[in-house]
Amino acid sequence: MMLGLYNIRIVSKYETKLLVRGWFFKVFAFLALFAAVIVGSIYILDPNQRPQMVNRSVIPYLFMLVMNVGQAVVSVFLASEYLKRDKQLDTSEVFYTRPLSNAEYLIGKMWATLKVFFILDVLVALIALVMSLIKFGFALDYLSYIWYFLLLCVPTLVFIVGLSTTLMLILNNQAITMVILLAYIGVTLFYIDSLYYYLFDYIGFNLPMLKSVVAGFSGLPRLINHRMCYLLLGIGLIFTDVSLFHRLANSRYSLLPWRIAAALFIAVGLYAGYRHVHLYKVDERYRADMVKLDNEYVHKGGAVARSCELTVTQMGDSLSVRADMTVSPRENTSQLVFTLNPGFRVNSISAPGHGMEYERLMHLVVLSFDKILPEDQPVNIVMDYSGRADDRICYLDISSEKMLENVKALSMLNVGKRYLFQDRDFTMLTPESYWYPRPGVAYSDQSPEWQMSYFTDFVVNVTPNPGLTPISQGLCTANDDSTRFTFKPESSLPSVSLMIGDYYPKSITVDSTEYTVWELGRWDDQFEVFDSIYDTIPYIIRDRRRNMEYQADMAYPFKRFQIVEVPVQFTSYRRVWTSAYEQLQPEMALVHERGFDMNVFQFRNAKRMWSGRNNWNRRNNNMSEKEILVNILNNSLSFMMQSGTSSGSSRNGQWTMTQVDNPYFYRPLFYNFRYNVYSSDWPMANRMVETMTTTNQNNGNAWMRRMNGLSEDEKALILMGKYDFDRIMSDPEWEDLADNALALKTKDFFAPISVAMGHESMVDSMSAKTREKEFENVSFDSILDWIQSYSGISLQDKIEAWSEQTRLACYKIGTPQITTVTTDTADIYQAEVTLENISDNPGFVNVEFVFYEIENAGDEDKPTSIMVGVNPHETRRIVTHWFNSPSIIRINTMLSSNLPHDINLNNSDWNSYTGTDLTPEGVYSVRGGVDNTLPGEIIVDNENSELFSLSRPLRTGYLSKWIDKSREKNNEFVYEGFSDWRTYSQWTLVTDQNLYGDYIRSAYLISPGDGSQYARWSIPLEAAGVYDVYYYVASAMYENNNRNRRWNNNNNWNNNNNNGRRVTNDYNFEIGQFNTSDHVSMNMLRAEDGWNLLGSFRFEADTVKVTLNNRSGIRVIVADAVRLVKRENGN
Amino acid sequence: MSITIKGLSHYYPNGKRALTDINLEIPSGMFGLLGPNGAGKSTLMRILVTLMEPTEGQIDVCGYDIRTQRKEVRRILGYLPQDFRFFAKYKVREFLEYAAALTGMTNSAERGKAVDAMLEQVGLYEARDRYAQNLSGGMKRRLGIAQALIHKPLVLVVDEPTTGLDPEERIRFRNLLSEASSKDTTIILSTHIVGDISSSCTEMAMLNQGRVMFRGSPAGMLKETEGKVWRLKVTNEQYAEINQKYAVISTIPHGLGWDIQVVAKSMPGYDAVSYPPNLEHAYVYFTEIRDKE
Repeated sequence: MMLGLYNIRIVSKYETKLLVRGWFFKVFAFLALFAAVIVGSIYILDPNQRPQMVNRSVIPYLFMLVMNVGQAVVSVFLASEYLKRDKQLDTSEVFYTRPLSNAEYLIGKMWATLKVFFILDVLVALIALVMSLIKFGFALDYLSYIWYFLLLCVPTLVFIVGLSTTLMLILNNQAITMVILLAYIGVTLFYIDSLYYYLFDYIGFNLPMLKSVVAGFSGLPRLINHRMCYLLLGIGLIFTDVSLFHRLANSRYSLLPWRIAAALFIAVGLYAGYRHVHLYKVDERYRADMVKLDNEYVHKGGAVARSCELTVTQMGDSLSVRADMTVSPRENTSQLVFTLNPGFRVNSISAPGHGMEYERLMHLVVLSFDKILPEDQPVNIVMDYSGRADDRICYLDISSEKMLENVKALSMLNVGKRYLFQDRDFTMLTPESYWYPRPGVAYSDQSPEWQMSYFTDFVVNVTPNPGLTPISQGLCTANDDSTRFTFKPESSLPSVSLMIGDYYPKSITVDSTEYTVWELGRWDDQFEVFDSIYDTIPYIIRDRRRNMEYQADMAYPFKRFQIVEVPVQFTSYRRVWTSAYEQLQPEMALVHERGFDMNVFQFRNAKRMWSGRNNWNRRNNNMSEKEILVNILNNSLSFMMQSGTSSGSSRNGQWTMTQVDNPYFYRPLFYNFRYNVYSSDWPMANRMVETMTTTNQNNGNAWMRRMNGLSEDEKALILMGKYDFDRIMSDPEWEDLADNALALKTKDFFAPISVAMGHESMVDSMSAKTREKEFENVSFDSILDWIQSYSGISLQDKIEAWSEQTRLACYKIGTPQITTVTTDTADIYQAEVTLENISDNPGFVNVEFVFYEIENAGDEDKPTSIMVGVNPHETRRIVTHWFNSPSIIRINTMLSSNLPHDINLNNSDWNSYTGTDLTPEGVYSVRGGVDNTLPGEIIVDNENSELFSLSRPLRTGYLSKWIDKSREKNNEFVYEGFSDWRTYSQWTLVTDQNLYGDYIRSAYLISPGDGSQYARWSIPLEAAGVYDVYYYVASAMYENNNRNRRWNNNNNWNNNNNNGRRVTNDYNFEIGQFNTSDHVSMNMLRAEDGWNLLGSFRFEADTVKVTLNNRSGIRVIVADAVRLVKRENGN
Repeated sequence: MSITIKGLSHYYPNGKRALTDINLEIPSGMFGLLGPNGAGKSTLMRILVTLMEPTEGQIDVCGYDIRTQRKEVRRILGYLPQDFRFFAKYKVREFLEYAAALTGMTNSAERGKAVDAMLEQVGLYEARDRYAQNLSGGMKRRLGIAQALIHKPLVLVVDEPTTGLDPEERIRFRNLLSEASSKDTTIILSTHIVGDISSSCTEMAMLNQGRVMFRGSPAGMLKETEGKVWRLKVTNEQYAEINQKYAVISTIPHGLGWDIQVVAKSMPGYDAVSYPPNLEHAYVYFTEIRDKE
């Protein structure tokens, strides 16, 4: 044994010398260390330091992760290299005749490879450590350096060294081994990705490994299991290599133990892999079973909790809770159903004065009474339970795929997702964890009834573990020795949450509201920065609060506001039925430890940055330190002001912009935790009323629409036209669009009232009605009744049709007319907008007149937005009078198939006249439809699939075919985005309001080329004669740089194509009949928007073909619409 | 006997027979294994040094069975392969130290001394810090013998050691081998260069086409060749004729014809004079003549 180790050591010692003398390793080591120093220095010197750096394990994680990917590739080469060398060098044979065993020789060699990389890892970790020490001082997470080395580097290297040696021994060819392994690495990194819960991620590239200072790793046992899988497989493969090694063993049976060990390690490794998947599967099954159970009980035993007093005793990592509740059944029932976290064991339940038995079914507690409980009759129930909460109950409505999606930090690091924490030192239980019994079920995919929530009078008594501080909603009082705390909210709340940890408060009371920041531990107090402006803080807070209240148009309803620090892994999801994220709780915002990923909480960085900027800009605008600090605090208090941000991602060369919600957006604090509209039949009611009474448009902007091809609303509408509304609301694939679908549907739902009362007035009235009662449950029926009594309109029909597939209208929109009429007193601008519903479905259209300055409209009280109902095949004209010409006319087609769905017209889009007579204001039904056409004209648009055709795309190879194929997968939305810098290798369908179309304003785009790609309009003519041929031009689609050339370059020949031949800014058409055609070119820089004449031709009564090819020097070829107009006198 | 080989045969996977029924007793001392290229010498060597497993037969090395007691065999074995030219990137001393360490010389101080002494012995001490790859052919071969001798093996197997060496290096190398041989050590010198055997071996075997053609002393081999070597003077025409029929091993121009030496069982019809054989003649006799007809 001793000699064995000695031999291994000797082989590895000399093998190491060879490795470090090889240029390949030298280059890699140099690059790794150099990169570590450079990256480390950048992080240290970066004044705009990324907020994630506040987590002390980010640097070791980042460094080890990058290092790990690099060494996974390089070690493949080195591990196979030594066997290749053995084969090539005859000197190796003299070592083979030495008395050492195969195992000693091979393991020695592999250990050498492992050793050099481990040493390199340690050096990189040391650089990271030194850099961190310089940056952060001694308050570091030292253990994390060891953790990342063990979790990332060790298993990866052992596995890849074992695997590459095995392959090399089997294939006996280094080149093939390398190709196979590099392909394997590539596939695992970029393709397999999340398959089987990241089982194949041997590098650990996608495993969530960010360590919280407070709560450590998320799911450490599973992480270790996953890494053990690869470590054991690696060791097993190394042992296999001993058997495969091409050298006679020392004795006949000396390989047997290695074979047994190899089989054992590989078996255990495979079991660890199986277990990894199995644990997730078990969780998924458990969650599915919970949903199944919920479906069974969703209509049973519903109740409203009127009051709930929770007495919580923390005992180590366990909680013992007594819940004393008063609940009222929502109907006559002998059964009450509660949801309580399945991790808690129910010890006893009593209902004084009632005979009752209970059953604990997974996460449900079902109480069966010996007699019927009358509706709304309060029942007192006392429930005793204890244990540790199980996070599998959280977000039952969210798909596994979504839950497995990683939260990325610094684009590369993976943050584990956790929804609750319950340890000895830290506990965080939000309502999502069902830490206290709540009436009803947790989630049902068959009935939305479970979504309802009600206001309850809560009291929370907490006896925490010694030395810890609890946080919850309400006024906190403690007993004399601060061992028991009582939280009593001033009003009913929809829910309560509980945090227990080593919390330290920083409080300030401004205008009788207490503002507190609860910091965990005392390891980095950023707030010291503000010591010098302490006196100013109340003013800043007051100012910010007013700002928010003004924006929300509501007062902040609570007596306190707390920012509570929670571990970095805390995550939540967006829900369709509420705009509230779990990050916001009544009276509080839960913020990641030390403001991880939130710049606004990095006060020191901000100060350094501002000061730096100040020094640089000293001459102009020198700010005092206090001013800087005020700015910083102001900025940080704005973290709840923005509803979201947009973020871009590129896939297959196409950019997609998505709107990302800000989970801290203030709205729930002002609205959702304060008002509650409930309906036993219609759980969406609350969200609908919220949508109507608050400003909440998550539709992105015009630029985003251009990038994405369609707006979120348009996508939602396309789905609504195809599928039942309930499906859109429940299908996880479309969960990002569900909000838009709901908002559109809600607006349409209330549209009859808007038409009758005016939209703004309806919204104001409904807001006032909803907000009559704070912290109380208001029934939706009462609001509907009120609406009916107020407007005389019943929405009952609409309720019944709610879940059906939405019937979408289509509108043709006429060119608006602005007529200036001079009256005795003033100039009046008469705006006329004509709309024709060309579908069989009724619909509503909202027309808004926008003035750059509101007083330009004239009468301040006059609504600038008009909602109009349009029946099938009806044409309506809206006539309005203004004292100034509108700047923009914005037409929103609501539930329609129109693309674009929103049309913004400015003065170049409408016709202006001067007149003498005014038509009275109003909405008129007119005959004959929107008549934008000339007599005898024929238009063929690109949307006409019979008369419009495109050339087949050029295919250059299998790769592009494959990419195209993968693009086709998501063909729900066929319209693509476009941008100035994008190239279109094939005809690409886009929509834009500048393009031509009946109700879909679309065109195909292609980048210029050799003329082999074409678009063809085939126009059948009924009569022979002379026809003017026009082409529709939307210069906005191809202008930008090209358009400027009109002024800079008089020479039309201003471009060279790929072949060096000169090409022009012309579009090239072939126009003709039968087999003859004329060539017509149109200079696009001189073309005007709209119809442009290509020429007049004599045609027979047959099909005319107009073909546009892609030979041009202009940025993009737009294939839109062709118009033929017969000359009256032509024959 | 130091090494006993009984009924040894070896076939390659392609069916080609490399060795056929080899039976040999190899005593201690310097033992020569002579044979032309492809005779099976290297295969036999590789089997002896445990690099290959024989298809059939038994080999006993100093009392150890080569099939079942490889570790013991390897412990007493030193081996210098035929090609010893390509090194990994080690310095001379490192290479020797590595080789020494793997023989079980665990004490690093003693090992260091032994390595230095060996480097002195083979005349490479001055070159100890040079990369082995950059040594001359002779120096590489000396380093080879140094690694084979570093642990004082009981059996030293040297395969074609002098091929490609200049005469001076060849003599130097032979001397090294002679110094290493003692009554306890068996040195098996495999070669196709007759001079290597004649100068150093007392016992030898001759291998051809995988079979043992001769086993005995070089003198015994000469004895068997006596009367088989002929010297004759011939014209050009005669030379062409004789060259077709017999193994001509030496031709010297003589007047208008040639003075030639021929190995043949008999030489009728020419004016041939019997000539005293040397090992080279014996080599030709055994490889080309003896078993014909």
